[in-house]
Amino acid sequence: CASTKASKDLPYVARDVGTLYSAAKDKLDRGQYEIAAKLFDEVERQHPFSVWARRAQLMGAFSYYMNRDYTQSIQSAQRFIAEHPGSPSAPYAYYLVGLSYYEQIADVDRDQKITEQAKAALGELARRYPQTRYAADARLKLDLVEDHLAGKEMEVGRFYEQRGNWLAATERFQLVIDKYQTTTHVPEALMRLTETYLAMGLPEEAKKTAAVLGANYPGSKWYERAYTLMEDKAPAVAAAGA
Amino acid sequence: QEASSATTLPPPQASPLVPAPEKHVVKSLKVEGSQRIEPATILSYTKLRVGETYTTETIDQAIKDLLASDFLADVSIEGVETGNLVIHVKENPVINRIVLEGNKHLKDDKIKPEIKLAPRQIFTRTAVRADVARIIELYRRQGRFGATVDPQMVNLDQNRVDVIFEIHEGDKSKVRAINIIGNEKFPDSELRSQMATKQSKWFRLFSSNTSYDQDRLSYDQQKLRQFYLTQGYADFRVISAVAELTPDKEDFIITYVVEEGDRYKFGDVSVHSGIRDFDEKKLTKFLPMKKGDWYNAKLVEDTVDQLTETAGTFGYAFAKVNPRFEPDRKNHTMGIEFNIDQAQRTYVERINITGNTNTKDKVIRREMRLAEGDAFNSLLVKRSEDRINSLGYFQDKFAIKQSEGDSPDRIVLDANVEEKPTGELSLSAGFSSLERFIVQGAIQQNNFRGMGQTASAQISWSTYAKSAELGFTEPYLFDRPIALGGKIFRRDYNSFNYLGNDRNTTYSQVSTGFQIFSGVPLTEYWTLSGNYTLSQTDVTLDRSRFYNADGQCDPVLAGRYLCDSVGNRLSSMIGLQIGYNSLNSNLRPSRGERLSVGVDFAGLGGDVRFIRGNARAAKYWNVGSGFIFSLSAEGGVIHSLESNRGPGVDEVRITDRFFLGQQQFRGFDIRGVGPRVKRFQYSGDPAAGTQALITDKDRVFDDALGGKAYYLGKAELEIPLGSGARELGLRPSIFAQVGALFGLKRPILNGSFTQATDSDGKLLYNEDGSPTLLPRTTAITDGSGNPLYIVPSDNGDISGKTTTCQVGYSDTFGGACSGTTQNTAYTSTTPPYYEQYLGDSASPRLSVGVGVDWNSPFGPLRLDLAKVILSQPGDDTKLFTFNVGTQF
Amino acid sequence: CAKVQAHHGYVFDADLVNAVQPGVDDRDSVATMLGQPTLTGEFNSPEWYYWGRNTNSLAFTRPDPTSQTVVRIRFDKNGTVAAVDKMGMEQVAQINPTDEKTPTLGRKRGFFQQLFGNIGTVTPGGMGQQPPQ
Repeated sequence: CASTKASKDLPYVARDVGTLYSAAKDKLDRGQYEIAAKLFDEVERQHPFSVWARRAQLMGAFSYYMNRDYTQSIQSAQRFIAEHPGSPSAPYAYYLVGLSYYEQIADVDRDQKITEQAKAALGELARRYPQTRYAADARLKLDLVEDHLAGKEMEVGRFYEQRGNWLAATERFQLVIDKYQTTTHVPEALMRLTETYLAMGLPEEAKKTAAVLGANYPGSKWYERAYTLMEDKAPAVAAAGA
Repeated sequence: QEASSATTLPPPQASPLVPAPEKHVVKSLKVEGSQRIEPATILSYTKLRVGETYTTETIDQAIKDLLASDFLADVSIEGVETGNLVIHVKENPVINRIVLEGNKHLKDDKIKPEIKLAPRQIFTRTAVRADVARIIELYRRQGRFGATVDPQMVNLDQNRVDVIFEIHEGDKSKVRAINIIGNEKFPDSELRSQMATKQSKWFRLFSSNTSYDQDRLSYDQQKLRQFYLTQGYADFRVISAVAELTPDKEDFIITYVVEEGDRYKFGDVSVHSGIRDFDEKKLTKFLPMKKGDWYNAKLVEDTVDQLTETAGTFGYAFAKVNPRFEPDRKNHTMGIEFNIDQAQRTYVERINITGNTNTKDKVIRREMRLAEGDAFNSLLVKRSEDRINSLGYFQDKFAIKQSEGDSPDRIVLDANVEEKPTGELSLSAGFSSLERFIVQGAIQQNNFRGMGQTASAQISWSTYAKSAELGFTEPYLFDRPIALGGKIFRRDYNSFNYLGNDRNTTYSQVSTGFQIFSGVPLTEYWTLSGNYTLSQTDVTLDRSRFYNADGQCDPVLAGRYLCDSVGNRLSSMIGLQIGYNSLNSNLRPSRGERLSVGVDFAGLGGDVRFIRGNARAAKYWNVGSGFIFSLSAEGGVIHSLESNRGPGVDEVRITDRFFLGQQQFRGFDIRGVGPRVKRFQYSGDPAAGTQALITDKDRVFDDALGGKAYYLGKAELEIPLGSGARELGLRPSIFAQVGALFGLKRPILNGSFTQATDSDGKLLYNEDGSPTLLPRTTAITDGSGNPLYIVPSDNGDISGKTTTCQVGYSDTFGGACSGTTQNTAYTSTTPPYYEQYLGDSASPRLSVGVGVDWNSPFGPLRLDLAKVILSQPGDDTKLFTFNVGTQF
Repeated sequence: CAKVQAHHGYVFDADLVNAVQPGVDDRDSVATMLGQPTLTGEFNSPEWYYWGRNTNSLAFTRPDPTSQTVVRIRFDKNGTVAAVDKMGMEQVAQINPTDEKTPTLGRKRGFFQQLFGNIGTVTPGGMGQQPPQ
């Protein structure tokens, strides 16, 4: 029988803000993130109007993040944003939210809901505060998130290829080319389309796709594969002009 | 006398001239009184900016905006004339704690998640009012309409506040009576049974639907209408439904006034289809209702669903079927034309699989019977749902949602799953009348690594059986639906029975080995599977009890049937099985069939050679409103290929025979059915001639031998209970079982004891005329077979020793004897008994009973009360059996 | 043993397809008559393809095609149908997709985490969920 972890706030002990905050800060520095987060929450609860409360809210969110308690970290950060939209450290709060989602991204075989949330949070940070250094990191991570989403589409496309559902695979790879042009999966998607078009008996389409692949990614191993595929599977079409 | 009639009309009010709003320019803007929220944030909520013009309207608007921000208790702006504006604010307090008082029937954990206010949030009046309403709504749903809630605020320092909700629950207002006026065709009682609200009677003490609830009232009206329409009264109307308080204001009385109208018959019915390849004439022929039948609204509804379903199977997912009614009031007939709107064939645009945090996407996608780009087919969607449900990894009511795609003829299928913990780390202790005390430890991961594989390690220990097993199965080898699995096991059974109340082990069987199996689907429902098992079985008998002195299994003591099964045997067996499975779920089926026929051949090397066939079939029907009826049958036959091993000894060893009894065949004891040998002891003293058979059940030595063929049938009806009981996981059912175990070479019985004779050689008989039998004494011999003697006690150090000399003593067995001591023969005496061979008959045994499966907090519990109606002499019946703890 | 018949892609209705005349029909009329195309060509020359294939296979082997119909409709600049060609199985190639993959990130779940991943969550015996409100 799982013991119910004491998730309630610490017992209601009123202490003055200075000692509370420094105790929390000390625990944070010593890496005891969980207790630090609880103490920061206490600061905010007992002295909501002190100048420390605002600082504690953010530090609490950071402690939860360090403690990998991402859901709590997101909640605290979002409450900070709601109450202090104008504060100079609001971008950092957005950044914390984005990071908390980003850390939980699961591999491509599994549900990508968290990835979508990470994309939304990082996107909002980059849009609201474009100049901050957090936005720079957010833009970088956004590319990786896009790449991950494209990876999911590719995984399903390959699944359908394995089972001989060439039409289903084609639709997935076409989606990668239309929606995720900037990701690292485009060359492979183009090669996969060459495969599926050939298997579906549409060599002209295969030729066009291989041509686009060759034009944009001439040196890639994917183009080599596509080229040899066209040569031995549809030599007439490969040779013919147009 | 009226007062003076006309007073001069007051002069028309001069409509005040709306002064043109003078324009002012904001010179400065300050915020005062804010502690927690920065001034910048407060200003961001208003449109006032330094240097902008403002009017009284913009000022009012600013105040309204600030109040709407939920942060501020009240706001005032001064310095409007001078232009340097000062916004005075008083911030809303922050909530420190929420306290609920007086809530007896609804505990905190039921209320707290429902209310919005929480510690560290901003306190606002609107939020408090909303929460008060929320709590009252919770109580109304419980039927307590008298509940009132009033919030109290306790102000603390630093502008914080504690919110206390004082709750006065009041008691439940019940429905005392339901009267119906204007119904001639159906009695009040029948109409009342249709309704959800019930009159509060003593036997409905706990039921929640005797309390008064408006939305249930309107639901009842619908039910009434539906009932009458189903009976064909198309013109039925509920004229009025009124609920009045009883004089003592405690409960309610509900009165319905209805107008039944006449009963209708079906007019002519037809199908008109807008879809190209739907043949109207054929569809009309298949309509369930014919011209002249009694009109039945429910049948019309079902037909609409049926037609939509058929359209779905032909790929028209969004086909609309709407019936057009042509009532003929005069001779009460109702003509219906089902027309199917023009629709385009739909194609699957995309299949989204979401919610799978642990299971891999392909494990679910490979169960889908549709691929993207395929034509839509509702049967295949249903089949996909069944297959995903049968995986057992997800929530019970999993369903695939259909939504329109980018264009009208495209559909998107969403399979949103909720992962269920599939890993079972179960350490359970159980007690069962079958195995007495059971301790089990098992790690079973049915969805290992989210790949759909099963990996299991099980250790089970009970007084009856100890077993350890490691297993692994991969259902999709190389991503093809080829299942491959294996397990290694070590099982240690010891069979025992009770003589009096001490347990004696008749024999113990230890088998260790491994099994590999593989299966491939032939079609959507048929699968073919094969397996190979290699196991080493070592059967030993309790030496002290059943072996005679020279270490041989003594047939007299243990019976020849047990002696022949002693020994160590290697069995190498290959098996083939073909199966059909169209159940809608393997865990809790309510529809579909399952059939499997298999044959096993043992003899690819090893010492055991036999051929064994088995078959199993089950069919489930959902007979409406939750009742699930199932018929199942199983049978098996085994034929040995080994050479004959003498009279009375069956070629099939006891370890390979079928056994039938408790758990599969309810109403009977452990291995209670089938061939057995019963050994009755004699009571009384042979000399006094008072011997009689002891027939008291506990004192009879009963050993089941198993059989070479068996059949077992079962009919079971699962009874749905109210939501309360179902929530506890109770699943009661009534069942009837029929079966038999038979086919064994008749063993040669022991127990030929010499009859006692009196001094002059005349045979003695007991009072009841049965022959008086003498106990048999058998001499105990040493290793090489010569009889042993015991030296009488008063002979110094050698007294009590065993020797082979009848007279005198020698240190070694068989050595020269010295001394003149007269030794007594060392013998063991077996009291006389009478053996009977019973139960070897194929005629059916029959038992009926009631049982309940209870998914109790400490593991599944099965209780059965089964009465045997037909049985053969020798069968051991058992009325009540229960089993706690997980079953393996 | 019995082979599994299956149909993928567009379900053809012969006389509808023949009703499409080049020079007369345009994109909208084709769409209303035949429905959306199964596939549209990529990049600059978007032709419309209606593709349907019948396959059969043992339940556990890969489905190999038995028959196939492809209708390609080409449009001229202002969108009227330029050419309608029908194709069958002639140009179908036998392809084995490569195993190579472009790598992706994402937390790989450790071996033990997957075995015991969700064992901690002990379901409350048979208590079941809240009664629906």
